[in-house]
Amino acid sequence: MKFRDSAPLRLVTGLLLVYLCSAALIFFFLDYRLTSTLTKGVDHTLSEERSMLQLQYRDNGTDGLYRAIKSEIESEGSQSHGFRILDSKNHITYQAGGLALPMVKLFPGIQQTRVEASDGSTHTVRVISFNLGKDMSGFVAVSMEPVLVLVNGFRQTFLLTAGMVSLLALLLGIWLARRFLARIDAFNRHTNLIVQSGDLSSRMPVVGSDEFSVLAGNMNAMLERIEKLVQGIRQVSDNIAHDLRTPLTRLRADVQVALQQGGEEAHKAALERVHGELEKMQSIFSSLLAISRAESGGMPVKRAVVDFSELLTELVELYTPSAEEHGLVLHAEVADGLLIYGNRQLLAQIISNLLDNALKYVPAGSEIRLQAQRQESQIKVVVEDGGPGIPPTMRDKVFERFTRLDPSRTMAGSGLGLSLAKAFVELHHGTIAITKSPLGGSAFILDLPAA
Amino acid sequence: MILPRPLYPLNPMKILIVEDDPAAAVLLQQGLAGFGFASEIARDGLEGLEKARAESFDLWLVDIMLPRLDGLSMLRNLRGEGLRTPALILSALGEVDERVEGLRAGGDDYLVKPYAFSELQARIEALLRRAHGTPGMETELAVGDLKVDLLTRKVFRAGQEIFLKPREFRLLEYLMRHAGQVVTRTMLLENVWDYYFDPQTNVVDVHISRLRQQIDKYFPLPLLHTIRGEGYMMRPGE
Repeated sequence: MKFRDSAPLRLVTGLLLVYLCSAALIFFFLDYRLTSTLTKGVDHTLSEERSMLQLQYRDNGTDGLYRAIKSEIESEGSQSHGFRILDSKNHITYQAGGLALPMVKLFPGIQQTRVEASDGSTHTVRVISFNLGKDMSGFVAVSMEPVLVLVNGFRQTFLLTAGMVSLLALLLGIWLARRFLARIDAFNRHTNLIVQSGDLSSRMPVVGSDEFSVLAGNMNAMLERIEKLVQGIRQVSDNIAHDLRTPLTRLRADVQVALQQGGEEAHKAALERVHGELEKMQSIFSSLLAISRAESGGMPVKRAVVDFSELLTELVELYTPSAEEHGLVLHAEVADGLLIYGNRQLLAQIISNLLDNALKYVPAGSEIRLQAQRQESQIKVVVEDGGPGIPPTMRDKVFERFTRLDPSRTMAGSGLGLSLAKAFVELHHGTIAITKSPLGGSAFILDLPAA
Repeated sequence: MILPRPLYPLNPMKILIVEDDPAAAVLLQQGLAGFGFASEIARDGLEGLEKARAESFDLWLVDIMLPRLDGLSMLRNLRGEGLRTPALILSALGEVDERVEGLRAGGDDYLVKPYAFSELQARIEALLRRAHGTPGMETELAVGDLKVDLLTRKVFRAGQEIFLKPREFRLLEYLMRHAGQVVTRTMLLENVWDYYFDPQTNVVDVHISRLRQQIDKYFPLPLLHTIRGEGYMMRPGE
């Protein structure tokens, strides 16, 4: 991997640069302050020496002056100081201390210069000049070397520390980047593997609970969804192949036989059978289309607040004569004022499919019961019957497409009604499940969010 | 079985077919001729627009997905120009909202492809009847000796009052308003119950037989007839 392609390494380098810039800024600032403060101290000493010498000269004349200089050198050391007194013609009348001063003229303020000491070393010095009476002038120099030693010590210490910290930061950064990269590499390897192998059942390893784990979790959820969709598609195509092959084969045989036999009556009968089969296939197709569009979210649904109580009552009224005709009793207990934000047609179709289902499979003499009530923020609808029921192992399966309990598939129905109901329930953010009914058959339990 | 049942045989109706699939258009034209309708074909929305403007038709049959200009835009344009010819939308798009969209664009009815020809015929006749009748003006409907008073909502057969539940009354009213025409199960579900899907069981048939019990059972002459493979029809006599 190239360095500039690695996001964590880029990040580490950037941070290091920022750190180095701030360190440099701090260094220059501290260095400037330290040097100027120490220089001010030296300058202060110089002004005090000047005042003291001028005072000695005024009170005690040249003798007092020279005495004072001697005692200064004795107490401060000769190598760090230099004194020079000039007469009116600028001739040196007195000189003391280890520092040789080049100056012969008065100057304002304090000057910095480099001079040679008596021991041969070169010193940076601060020099001040002053008047002594009318015709004499004096110069005092103080070495800056002790200050420079201090400043240099600071500089070395600072740079050493900064260097060590930078090195440490760099190492830490590289280590962290490596760790990040290792986890991202793991993701990349894993996704690549999934892409290469097409194995959608594979999942990312989730370790701990940091952002990477959240990412892994999200990717796993996405994989799960994709896997489910792909399974759905695969299953549907398998089922379509199976369920349409049978009527297609029958159609073909019918047409072939009719073509060979001739006779107007036979032709007509064959055509009518063909027509019936085609109608069945057409309804399977439109149901499949509606289910897959509802499941994929590709169905544009206009929603409004639906009076679900009224809708249920109407549906019960629509189905009651049919139920009686089938020798069934349809009981309904619908609470008033149940409102759902949804699509009236789709909601009606959900209930209609459940009632159709009961009419088809519940034997005469039995009972169908529809109950609807509000439970907190949900509307709970139970459609139950005293029919043969659905074995527990099949309860999830009946919502899959083309599932029919009757293995010979001789009973009416396409096996799509409950899938359609489930898809439409989920489109309304609800759930549908099956339990055993106290009536003996199955109970379909719908939970739909109330408006 | 499809039989020619011209409504106004002396003055043949003319229908505009706006359909881009040539085979489907020709089949449609032949089928309509079988019912006694003359028709003309437009191959896309713009051609449909021109033909509908240039000539007076009794009905427009409009496909939605058309080249150059889609069926709904075409309808919106024509309605915007004040043309009130009844329009039946034919579409492969069967979802509820698309139906609403179609009716909002100016369609008078909506039929999902593929459809049974008998269904198309029944709906065309219902639309033509509506366009040529005086809707909403009647206070009484009558078929044979069956009379429905729309104001008092009372029903009489041979002078004898028959008591119907509200939904039965609506069912009867719809059948009577389309007396002499085939009314399909789908039309009943849409217009009497306002459901745009077909239940898997014969719920509508059972309601019809209940209604028949009420209005026909004790009288020698049946009025509510089953047209096999197509639907139902109110008419006096066979």
